[in-house]
Amino acid sequence: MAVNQAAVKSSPVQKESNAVAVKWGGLFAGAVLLLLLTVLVAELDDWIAFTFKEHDVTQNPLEYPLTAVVIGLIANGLLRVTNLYHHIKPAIRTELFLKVGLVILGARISLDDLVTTGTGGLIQALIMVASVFLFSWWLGGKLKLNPTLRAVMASAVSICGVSAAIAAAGSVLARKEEVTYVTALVIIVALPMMVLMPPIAHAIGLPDDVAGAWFGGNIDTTAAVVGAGTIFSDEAQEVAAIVKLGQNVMIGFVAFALALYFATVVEKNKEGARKPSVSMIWQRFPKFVIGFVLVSILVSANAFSPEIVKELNSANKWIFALAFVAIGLDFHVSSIKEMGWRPVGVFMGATVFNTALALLVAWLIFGVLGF
Amino acid sequence: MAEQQSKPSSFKLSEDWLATIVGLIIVLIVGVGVLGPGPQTAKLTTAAGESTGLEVLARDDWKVTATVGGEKSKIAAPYTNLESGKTYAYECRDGQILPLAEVVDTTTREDADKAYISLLNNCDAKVVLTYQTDLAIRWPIFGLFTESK
Repeated sequence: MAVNQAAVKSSPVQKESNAVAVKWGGLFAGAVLLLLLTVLVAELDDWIAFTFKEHDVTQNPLEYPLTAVVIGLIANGLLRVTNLYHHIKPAIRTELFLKVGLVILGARISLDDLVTTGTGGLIQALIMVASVFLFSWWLGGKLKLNPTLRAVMASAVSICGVSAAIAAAGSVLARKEEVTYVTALVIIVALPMMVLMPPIAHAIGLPDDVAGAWFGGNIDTTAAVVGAGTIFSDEAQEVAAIVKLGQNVMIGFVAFALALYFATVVEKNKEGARKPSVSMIWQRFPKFVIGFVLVSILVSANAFSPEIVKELNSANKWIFALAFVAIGLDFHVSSIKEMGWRPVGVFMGATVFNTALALLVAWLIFGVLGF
Repeated sequence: MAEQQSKPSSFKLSEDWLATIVGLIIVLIVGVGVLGPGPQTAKLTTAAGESTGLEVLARDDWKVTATVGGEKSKIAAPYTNLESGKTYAYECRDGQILPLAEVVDTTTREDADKAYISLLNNCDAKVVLTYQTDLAIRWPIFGLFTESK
């Protein structure tokens, strides 16, 4: 009887079902934790705003993305110290939360604004993606990075961080470590930029739309773009999001072009090289943009009353807060150490180039041409 | 064992589509007010010497604001929690809007599941009384962040 019990205990079926239970338990616990942290952020945000108001500061200078990221970072540290981090990791879906928030953000942006700002955003995206990609690719070549890492890094810096890195990696068959490395760099650089760029934009006196376009064209992750825009102003948030969405749309085209280049030039004679197809453009297209445009159309067609739109904005803020908490929870530096200084040099060089060019292009398109 | 075992094919939704669907569901829930009556606005407008009334949803936590002759006017202790089948009366007198002490039970009215607000304007200017609820879904969910903004 004891033997039978032992056999049952160690059976593969039992093990698998235990693993599934642990996975779902972690997912549930992580979701609850994220929710509680977001409620804490909301309460802190109210308290901070109230405290500033009591001291005659009507505009809260510590906007909620900052509070959310700090809370996420603290929770991140505590979870790692207590070895609980890997249990709740499946619930940290920063990109998903952010995309949901962007769909709802459509309620804030009328179709007219979307067309006007979107046109400017697409022009800016074309200029930025092409210039920054080629610069990063060139710099990576100068510092002798291997072609796959160059492609992943150039895509991440020029388009939209993590998603672009993953898409490019798929096109050029990059190694998993290269994607992990670039992803870590993207997050580590994006976070301070989210915090520092709004005060810099204020200091140099950028108008809301130019500041938003600068954040959208420059900061790598969409989450940090929205965060920086939110810290600056509501209008900056809208423009930043639209400009970033314009860049997101480029993912498919760049992934296709990379696959074509690697198949015909870099890996011409290599077996197993990926054959590019036009369907890749659709596969890589950020489909949530469709939801964003649909919501914008509904609001522009007066499908909802002003009170409902106000509620949608509140829901949007809630989802974004969840995403910002997740950014703090996602932050990690361990995978950077192994790759050496050269890729970091390329990434930083490309980021500086991106920052300067984005400022110039944003100022020309939104400041001078008035999109 | 001639029967071939085929692997069950599993459908996996991409993150982009999942985000789109979740986002649109939230828009639908808030937009249609599936989880509640949605935000409400009821406005009573009366010219000098006239009276008016309006049925509104019976619920708590209404925000009440008013203007007399276009100027904001503060109402001392307005009725904010409205019960179904009751009439809540206001009167404008000497430039002030006053809630009348007596709440009349009018459950025999046709639409008795709602509350009724009436306004008698004895002032010499136009009076607008506005009842509003601003949350489709109440506090711990979508009302976050709204107090300080």
